[in-house]
Amino acid sequence: MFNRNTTDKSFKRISNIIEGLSMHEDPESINLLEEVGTNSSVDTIREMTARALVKKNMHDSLAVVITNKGKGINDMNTVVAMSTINELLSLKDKTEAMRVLEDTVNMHSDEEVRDNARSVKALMALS
Amino acid sequence: MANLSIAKIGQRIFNTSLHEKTVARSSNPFAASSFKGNVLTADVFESSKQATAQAKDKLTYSTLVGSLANIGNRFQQGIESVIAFGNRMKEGITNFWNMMKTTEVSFEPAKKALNTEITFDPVKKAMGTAAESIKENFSRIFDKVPTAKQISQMPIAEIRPMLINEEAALATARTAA
Repeated sequence: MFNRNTTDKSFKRISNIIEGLSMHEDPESINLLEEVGTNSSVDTIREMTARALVKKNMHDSLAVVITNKGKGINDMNTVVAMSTINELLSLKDKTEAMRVLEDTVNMHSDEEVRDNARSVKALMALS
Repeated sequence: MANLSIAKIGQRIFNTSLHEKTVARSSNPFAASSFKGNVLTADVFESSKQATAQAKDKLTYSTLVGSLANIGNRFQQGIESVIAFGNRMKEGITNFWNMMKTTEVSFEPAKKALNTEITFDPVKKAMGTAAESIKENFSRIFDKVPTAKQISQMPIAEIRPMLINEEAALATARTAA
């Protein structure tokens, strides 16, 4: 009971922090989310962080979840990857996201990352 | 006794009206019973025998009287025992009071025990760590969670330790589970 309450409270707190960082105007917020959130061992934190970075809809934040192996759409956890893709598809302005995806498909060194970016780009083009 | 002849009996049986007239004229209501002025010499409702105590009864009465005398004696003994009990109580209270008068109440041993420092450092450290952990957990539970909007207006330098701490706490909780 005690642990469950503590965990629930911690989830609420970290959810608010990540959401607050997604609204934060300081570019340093992206670095903080990448440094702490995307490298977390907790799947839920990685998922929340990836969605926050997509919501920011900035080049640097989108690049984190599209071009990095093991993060965002390339995460080993399918829930995290699918959640990031869903958030990308939900964007009202997809211009920056399409640009980052195009660059990744054309220039990324890793084939798997390129394939993933191509698939997401196709989905976004259809949506 | 009434002088009854066969003729008179016959008259009584067969000529009841005449007999009733006679009765009705009589002023003595007991005339029909034919006592005719005879006085009763003995009490007819109770036994004429005098109640005399017999040897057996005398023994019973003497026993009864003796037991009654004993009741009084026993009652007296009971009262005496109550008095003795009261005296003992009084003695006890007096002794207690005398003892209390001569006893000095002091908390010196307890004070000494409290003032003694814990010199066993590992125990002290463990206690401190546990207290810190409890304090941290309680503050984590009862502290008000800042909203996302409030966080978005805070400097990154303040948010960073918060995020790191929360992430570490959740990672630890997940590992423990």
